[in-house]
Amino acid sequence: MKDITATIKYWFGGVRIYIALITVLITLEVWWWAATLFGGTQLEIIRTQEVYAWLSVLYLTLALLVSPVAKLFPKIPGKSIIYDSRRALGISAAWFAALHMLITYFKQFGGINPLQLPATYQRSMLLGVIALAILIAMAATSVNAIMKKWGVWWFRLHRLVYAAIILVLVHAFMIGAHATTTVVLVILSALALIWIAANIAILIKSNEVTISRVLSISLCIIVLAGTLTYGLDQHFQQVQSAAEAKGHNH
Amino acid sequence: MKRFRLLSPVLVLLVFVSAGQGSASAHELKEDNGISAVLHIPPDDNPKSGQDTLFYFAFSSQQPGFDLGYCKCQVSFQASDNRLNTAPLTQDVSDPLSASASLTFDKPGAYNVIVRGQTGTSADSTFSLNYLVRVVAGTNAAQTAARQTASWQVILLGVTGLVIVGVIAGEMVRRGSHYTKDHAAER
Repeated sequence: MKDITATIKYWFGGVRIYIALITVLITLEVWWWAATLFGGTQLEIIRTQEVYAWLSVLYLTLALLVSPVAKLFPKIPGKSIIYDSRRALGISAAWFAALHMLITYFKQFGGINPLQLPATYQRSMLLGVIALAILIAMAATSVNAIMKKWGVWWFRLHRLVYAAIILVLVHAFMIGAHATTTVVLVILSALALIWIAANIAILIKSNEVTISRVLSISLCIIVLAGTLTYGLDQHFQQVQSAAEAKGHNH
Repeated sequence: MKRFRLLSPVLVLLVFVSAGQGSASAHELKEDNGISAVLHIPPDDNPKSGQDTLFYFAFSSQQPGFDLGYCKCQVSFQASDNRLNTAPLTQDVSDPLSASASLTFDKPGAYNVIVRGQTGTSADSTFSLNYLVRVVAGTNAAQTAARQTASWQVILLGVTGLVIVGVIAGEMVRRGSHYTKDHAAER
């Protein structure tokens, strides 16, 4: 009994359980909001899965910003709390991504054979599934015991988060109806710039500017810029298609 | 504990009654005779009466050589009272397997949007994709206001809940011994 009390006290003294609780509350809130506004129709399903998708991106972004923020501001109050929250943020990102996939595939598309979807949807879904697999693998291995057992391979698996975020962005740009609007592209670009600037600042501050680190950051910049440019291209294509369609149909 | 007592009067739980609103059925996938298409109605899959509505179809075919330019495809819009409007399906210049049609619905209601075409010359090469779309009133200020009110009520309640959890979390984490050593080191 003492052990159980001690365990409960331990968990409720840490930040992770509250992040998990907030995640559950947000999950229920989004479902309630969509049901209230769109009442059991297809639009309810669309809006729910879209919001879950963006929540996944938000949580992933927050998790990725933990390390740069803590390194750039070493004297920030509650640094240990910030570091401690990263695991819960990552698991929550995987949770929302899984919800997004399940709702989209089974409720919106009725569990159809993916090969019957348009080619663009097939490619985009493949990227999304790979990204989701990475996030789930990371969430499943977010245990101290596994981290100790796997050693360097654990870090190699968790480095795949950078590939996952790129796959998620391309997946969204390919078929996300609202993922290539001006507002979204501006926000994503701003976040990318902040992340890149933070990592460059950390590199300079560390006084350990090696070729491999410079190459890593350069590669990140190129890949991010390419991805966002693809999003911008999709934006212009949609604008052009809409203008052409309106012109033809009148 | 003092912080709780200071904050609890500030945190007032509001209970709202939210009204549900029916809306459109869109962004659907339909399949028939080896041809499938995803319907998207920009900008938000929520067509409104009295406004020009664009219907985007992204096609996929299990049969090789399917071409929207030769399928003799047409789109029909059937109202609940069986009134029928037709519109040409225009192939997208940048994507040969995408097409669009445009129509203005004069009044709200449920409509069947039917895409018909053929993949070949034989009688069994036709396909028909039927989407149920609900068109809402375009300029109904009362309905729009009710939906916005319901939306804000739900959001406000959600934010209240999150703030409460946040305050409890802050107090519990502050009291917990998890980060004591780290806090001492930071000083």
